[in-house]
Amino acid sequence: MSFDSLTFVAFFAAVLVLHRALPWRAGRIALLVASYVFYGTANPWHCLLLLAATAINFAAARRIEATADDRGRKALLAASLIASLGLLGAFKYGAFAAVSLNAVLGALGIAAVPVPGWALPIGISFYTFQTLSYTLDVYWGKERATRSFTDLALYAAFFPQLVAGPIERFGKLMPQLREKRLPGPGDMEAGFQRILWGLVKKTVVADRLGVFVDQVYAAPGAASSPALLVATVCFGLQVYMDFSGYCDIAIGSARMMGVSLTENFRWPMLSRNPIDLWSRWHITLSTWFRDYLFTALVGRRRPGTPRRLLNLVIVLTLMGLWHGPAWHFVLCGLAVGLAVAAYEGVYLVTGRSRAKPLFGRGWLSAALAVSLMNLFTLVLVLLFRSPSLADVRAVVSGLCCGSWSFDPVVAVYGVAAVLLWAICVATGLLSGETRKELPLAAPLRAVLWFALLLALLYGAVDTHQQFIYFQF
Amino acid sequence: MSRLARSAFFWFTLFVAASELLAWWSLPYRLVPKADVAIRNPLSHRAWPEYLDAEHDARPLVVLISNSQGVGGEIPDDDKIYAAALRAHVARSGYRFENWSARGLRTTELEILTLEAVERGARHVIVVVAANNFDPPERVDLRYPLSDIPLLAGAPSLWPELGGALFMKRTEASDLAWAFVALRSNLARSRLAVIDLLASRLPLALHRFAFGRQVRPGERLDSMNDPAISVYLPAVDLAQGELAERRASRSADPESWKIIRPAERFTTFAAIFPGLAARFSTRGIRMSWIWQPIAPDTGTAESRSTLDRFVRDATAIIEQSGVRCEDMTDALGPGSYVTQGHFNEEGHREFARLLTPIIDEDLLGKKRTP
Repeated sequence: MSFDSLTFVAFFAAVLVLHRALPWRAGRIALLVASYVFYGTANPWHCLLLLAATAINFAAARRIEATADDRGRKALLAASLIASLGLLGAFKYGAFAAVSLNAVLGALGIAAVPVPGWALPIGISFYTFQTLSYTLDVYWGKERATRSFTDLALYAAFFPQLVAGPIERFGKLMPQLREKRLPGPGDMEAGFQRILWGLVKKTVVADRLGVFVDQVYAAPGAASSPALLVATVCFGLQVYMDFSGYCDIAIGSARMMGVSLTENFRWPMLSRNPIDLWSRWHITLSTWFRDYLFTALVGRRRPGTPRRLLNLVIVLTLMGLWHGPAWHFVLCGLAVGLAVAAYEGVYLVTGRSRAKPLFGRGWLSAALAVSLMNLFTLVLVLLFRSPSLADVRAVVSGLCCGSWSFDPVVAVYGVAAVLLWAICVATGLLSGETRKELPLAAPLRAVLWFALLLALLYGAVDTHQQFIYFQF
Repeated sequence: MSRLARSAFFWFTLFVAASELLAWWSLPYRLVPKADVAIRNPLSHRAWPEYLDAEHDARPLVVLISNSQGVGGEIPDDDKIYAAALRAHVARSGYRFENWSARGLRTTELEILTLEAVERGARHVIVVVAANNFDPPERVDLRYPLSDIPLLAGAPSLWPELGGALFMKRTEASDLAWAFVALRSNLARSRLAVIDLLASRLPLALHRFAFGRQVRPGERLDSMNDPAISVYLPAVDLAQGELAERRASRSADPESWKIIRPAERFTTFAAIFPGLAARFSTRGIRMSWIWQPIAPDTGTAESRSTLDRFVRDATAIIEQSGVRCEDMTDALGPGSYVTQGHFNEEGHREFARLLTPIIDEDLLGKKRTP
């Protein structure tokens, strides 16, 4: 069920009524059932996978907590990781692994292995990581294992953040779901407003840009250089508007049920360095990798510079692979890893204080740093959007050596992209890079909502596109 | 009351209600008659107006079933389309002629109209179609034939009936807008009016950005506000309309599947034709099947070759059923078209001249002079 569908409007209205009306003992069961209904509308069989991921981690965490022996705990954790990641690997990376293996086997003259043709279950990467974080937290003693399967099932399946995050931690989300929390009028209004913003960002802005981007990237070899450049910039804005719009709807929906979810974006176009970018873009994923993978790789030892930098490259490459089973995602992650390692390396090798930015202080230095980061982001966007490495080559070749004919449609999108980027940057700067809510009087707030409604009504493009992060 | 006034939800509801009223008052949709009082054809599909109130007399009935060319939307003067010439010619021979052509004729409509020809006891049915009138299996649009009287006086507007009322549909609308229209929201209907207005005012380069795809520039909206008319009869603006749109969007035209996918359409044709021929032969209805001329520069060389193969293979099937088939795909020169499949005035005149001896031969048994 997509957030930008009428089905969701009806579904959410019903859930809100039940949430208010039922006592929490029945209400949380109703919320769990509703979450599975929400998930099952795409493919009911995939609910079994969600249930399996929950059951594996529920059992593993209980046993880990009950086991005193360190080797036994490690074995249980390993079994849980293998089972959870095995499910993810089989459904998400099985075909990719088989195709890659067959390429090697073919070169060696060995018969190919069968390529699985399973459909990718929506949101599997998100709920796998979310449930894994629970087991790891229990293993590291940060959380107590829950005795209630319903609790863990609700934590894993809570519908606003089920299919594309934000990836929540058990310690933050579960206390909010254990007891009934009725939202105040302020929460209802703020949540509703956030949902409207999210819908506008998705259906008015992202989908509109997507029409052009899809057209250009469908045949990059036939597109002119300006078309490829503008389409790449447009895709950067599209993916931001699409994913942050999704998160706005998720956060707004949860807030209307009295639940606070973690922010996933903080003005990424104002990033000043590669590390800064990952504290602003898909924050809950980057903090997951930092807290669970990078920390595990580093361990309690303080590794030397080369090992630390290598770990950074490994973690960020894996983060690229998390997005999908394709080499262009791996390449994208590797590019980020190398950039982060290079930036971090300068500090580690020179012993420079982290309080001193590489480009110095002052607005001019900041503008230079932000500009360079935006250019770097364009490279990432190109790698991210191209469906294959062959397409990456076609786009790069088209950008460098393509034709330079004038096309008024490209010009329109180019101007729109620049304006949109400027609006995003200006909003980020004016808000002090925070998400403060303007204290609007009720009639003024209603005027804003009405304007957003009109934008939806008149501005939503007819070409409906799925949320980009649903595929991950 | 003061508690209500502090609620943004209260004010929001008030604004929406007020704008709903404003939209009802200001939009031309209130001039559109409700579906239950509007003139409509018995099958509720898109049809030529004469089909709505055809004279019923004792003369044997000859029916023309064709696509947009039978309607002639690109020709401002209805008397100059080939169907008008055909009507005059057939009438002189003592037959009653009805033109049942529908713009963008689809497989479903062809089926319905042939059933109707049987029902009305037609003597002779002349089918003038092209490959693109047969939907590929996955493109059969069930919503399309539900449209109401879209072709009033040759105006190419769709008037789908939703929620008990008609509204003008010139572009696709999102599911959300459709749902609100079904709820009779005038505010939602205003989206269509705004799209019409923008489509006729914006330069073509902005269309893809504004609408997410290419939109045919519509009619002038201001003419819709004339209170003297109860049903809006738009006029086609050729200068800003189809010609300009086609030139601008040919390479990326999402409608190009009409031209380049004859192979898939053949599957549909082969599936329906035997039933269609049997339907007529058991009732003694004669049929003339004419492949409509298309411009020589239609599609690429490859797509043209596929199209030719479609016509050749389909003709074989038609002739095996004992039906007269005439391939007129290449009958007209390049100067006879306004677009690849649409005739200009000269094209209509020439096509009528070529068509009449064929109909004479089929209908009256007159031998054609070489």
